[in-house]
Amino acid sequence: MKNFRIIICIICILAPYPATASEKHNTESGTSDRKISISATSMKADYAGRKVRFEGSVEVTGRDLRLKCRTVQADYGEDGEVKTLSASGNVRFEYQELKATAGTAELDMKQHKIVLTENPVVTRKGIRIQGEVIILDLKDGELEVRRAKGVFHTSGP
Amino acid sequence: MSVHPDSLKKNINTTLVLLALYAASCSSVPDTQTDGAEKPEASFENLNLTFHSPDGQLKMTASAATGTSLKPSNFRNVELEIESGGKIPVRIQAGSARIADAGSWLIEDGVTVSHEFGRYMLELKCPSIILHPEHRSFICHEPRGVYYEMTKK
Repeated sequence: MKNFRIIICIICILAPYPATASEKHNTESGTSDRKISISATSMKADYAGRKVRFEGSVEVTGRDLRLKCRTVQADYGEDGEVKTLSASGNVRFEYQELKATAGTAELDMKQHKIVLTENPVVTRKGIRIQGEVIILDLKDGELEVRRAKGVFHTSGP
Repeated sequence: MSVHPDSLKKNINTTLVLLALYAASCSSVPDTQTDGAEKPEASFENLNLTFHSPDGQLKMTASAATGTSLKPSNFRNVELEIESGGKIPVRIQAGSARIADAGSWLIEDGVTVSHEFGRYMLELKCPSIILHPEHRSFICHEPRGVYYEMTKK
């Protein structure tokens, strides 16, 4: 029970990273001019299978976002909207003050959730937490850690 | 529905033969000697060349072409449109394109790719692209670009 309370405490500390009010406004009004840069060794577009796959030293950089990994695959539906975005291979992800590493990361565009698997580790403001699966909810600012292990780093005496 | 490479080539050849005949009637078609044998070559400038793949999912336009009079194979100033789901989400522009092998195309010289994903746009620049019409796919080498939400009109 004590461990459970500690985990809840960590989750509360890690939580505040939802989209800012201005970001939400821009997205809803459709007037956002934010651009995300992307580079890779190669990109394969499979327009029969409705997927686009970036491979080799993939780097994605946005205003508050930085992602490095080996591959990124976007799967899209008939309407052209991207459904899922999957990153794999030594995934290093930074969003605002939050940093995460994992073997794979999957972004659900509808749910606005990022699911980190394969030894995922999240750090923010000196707090490091790892677990079997870490789910970042970008909409509500919640973080769910399954089978969590956390470490607090205190500065000074 | 997939594009069979043979049918695509046939379609291209048919289109280009007609163009070659038209071009021969209004411009010069130089003959050159290669290895002692006469090998006619053709060069077509200022053309508005368009072809569609048999399934209608791929359209290419070019302003110039070179090759033999029966089989032009190099195109310049090309624009490709790839249709999917009644829309044209993919557009490719480049300085040159040529048939590489097994029905694939090598597209080079200042290649830009625009790929729509609903409200979002992916714009890439890359040195070259290999297009596989029969597989309905293409590979972009060393892509660099941006992904952004388009402004509502």
